[in-house]
Amino acid sequence: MTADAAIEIAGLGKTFISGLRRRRTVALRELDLTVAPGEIFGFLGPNGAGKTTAIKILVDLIRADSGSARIFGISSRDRRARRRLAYLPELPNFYDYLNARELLQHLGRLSGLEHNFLRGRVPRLLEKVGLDPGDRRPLRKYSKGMLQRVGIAQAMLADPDLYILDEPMGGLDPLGRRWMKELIAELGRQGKTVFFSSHVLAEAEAVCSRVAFIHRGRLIAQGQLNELLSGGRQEWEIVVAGTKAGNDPSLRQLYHQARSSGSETVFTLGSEHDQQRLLQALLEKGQRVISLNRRHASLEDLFVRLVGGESPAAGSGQVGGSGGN
Amino acid sequence: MGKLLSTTSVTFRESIRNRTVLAILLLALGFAASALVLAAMAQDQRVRVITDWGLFCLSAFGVGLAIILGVNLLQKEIGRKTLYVVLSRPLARWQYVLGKFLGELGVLAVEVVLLALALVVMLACEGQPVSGLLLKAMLLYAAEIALVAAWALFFSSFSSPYLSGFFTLGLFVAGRSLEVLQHLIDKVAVPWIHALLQGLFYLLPDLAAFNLAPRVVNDIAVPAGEVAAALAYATGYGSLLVFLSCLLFSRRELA
Repeated sequence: MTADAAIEIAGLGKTFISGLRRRRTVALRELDLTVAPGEIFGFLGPNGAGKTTAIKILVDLIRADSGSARIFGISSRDRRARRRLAYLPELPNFYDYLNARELLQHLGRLSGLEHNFLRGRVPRLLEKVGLDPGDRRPLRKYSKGMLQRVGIAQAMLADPDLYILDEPMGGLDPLGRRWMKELIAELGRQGKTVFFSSHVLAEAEAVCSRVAFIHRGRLIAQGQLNELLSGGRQEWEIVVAGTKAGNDPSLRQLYHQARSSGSETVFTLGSEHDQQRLLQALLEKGQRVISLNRRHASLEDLFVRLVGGESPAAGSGQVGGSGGN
Repeated sequence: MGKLLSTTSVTFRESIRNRTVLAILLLALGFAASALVLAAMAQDQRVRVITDWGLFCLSAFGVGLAIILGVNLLQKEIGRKTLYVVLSRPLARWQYVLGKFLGELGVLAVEVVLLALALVVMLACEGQPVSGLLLKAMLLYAAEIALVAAWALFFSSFSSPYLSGFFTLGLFVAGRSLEVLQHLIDKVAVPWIHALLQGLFYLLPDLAAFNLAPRVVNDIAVPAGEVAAALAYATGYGSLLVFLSCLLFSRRELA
């Protein structure tokens, strides 16, 4: 018997209908996705790609038109599925006049936790996310970053098996983003499944074991991060002092691209062989080589390749109805 | 039960700490206290003026607060997305709606009790004891306010706050003026218009039964059976509206 997938999405479709003219906006088309227990999974795509729509179906805030979504084998429509997951919405908002402690105690009760248990759990969690458990200020006085920390604390309340985080780095400063990445990594080490969406691909590259790309509501690629990246092109960069070398016609056939960067010239090449030839030619011409680097293709490069250079913004017009994706 | 109570308690605390709600409560108390100024001009009708004005303030501010809180009860949370972390938990949507409504009733109860106390204190200053008739009137105004809150909740479960407020206020005015509609029905001869008005008559809430101020100031007795019937009507009608609100909200998409 195989263990149930943490998330199993099959043929998921969703179209929003809005306005008097009943304008149809397709947000998801035949989306298939499986996330195994214990994975840190990046759900990636540009703004408006359909990420938030898929997540809202997983937590039963909206209903799919077609297909199914299951959490550990239980339909996402079933309330029991929500006992196994925690959800952090994008830029979360909470009750203005409650303080963090009151909010967490309330949300803990809704998760079915006992009052006595919460009395110890809530201050510990607030401390864990870097907030003062004794802070009695209402949440409306909190900054965006502090609210995001409260959001993480509320997600961790019931110690669920699956964390669904929608753009978790949104609203965080660089230190906050680093903290969030470490937290996600820690959850992974604890054997939790983390499913997080992001349109900032570098974030995913830092923490994910597997990713899926979604564009215009359609899944365009998914797989292990290292497999996806190794399938991409590798590039070499040679940096030379001065800007003359970039204009030398005898070198032109040896590189892909040359660009000036201040008082330096940066040559970009496609293969190791080219790199050897250009390096030799530059040294023969008496050029001072400053550095030689191998550039791995990034997720961003991969995504641009997958959508064929098409502007991601074009996608957002297609799925605007899902709001704030 | 714990989830329902927690939702009720949080809704109550969130509303009662809201500055707008506090301002309305203070304004209501100020208006009620102005009965003393009006009474000073009324010479031998002081008790009558204080009673009439005090009950009017209790009802008007209660209905106003019920509409303001009721139409925002669900819509504010949808608009600000505060309900995402609530409904993504193992909580049934009906528990959420019912808990919110009960929390709102708690705030409205505070308004009724505050204004009732203000009225009782003012009457005591005039040497007038609290009569059973006055208590019955206050009780029925409280029931009417709860019914208006249920209407506001019902409309807000599928429409915008402005429209919900407009519909609820319209229903309140119509509900208080059913006698006019009855008069119109008696006069209309065209069968289909007659049937239409008759249907409307039965559909609209009959709120005249909750307005006992004229009888209190004229000291006309109200039988206990009449009060019980009005309370049963408010409970039945209100429960039906809350049930329908839960049903509509359960089907609602929170995109």
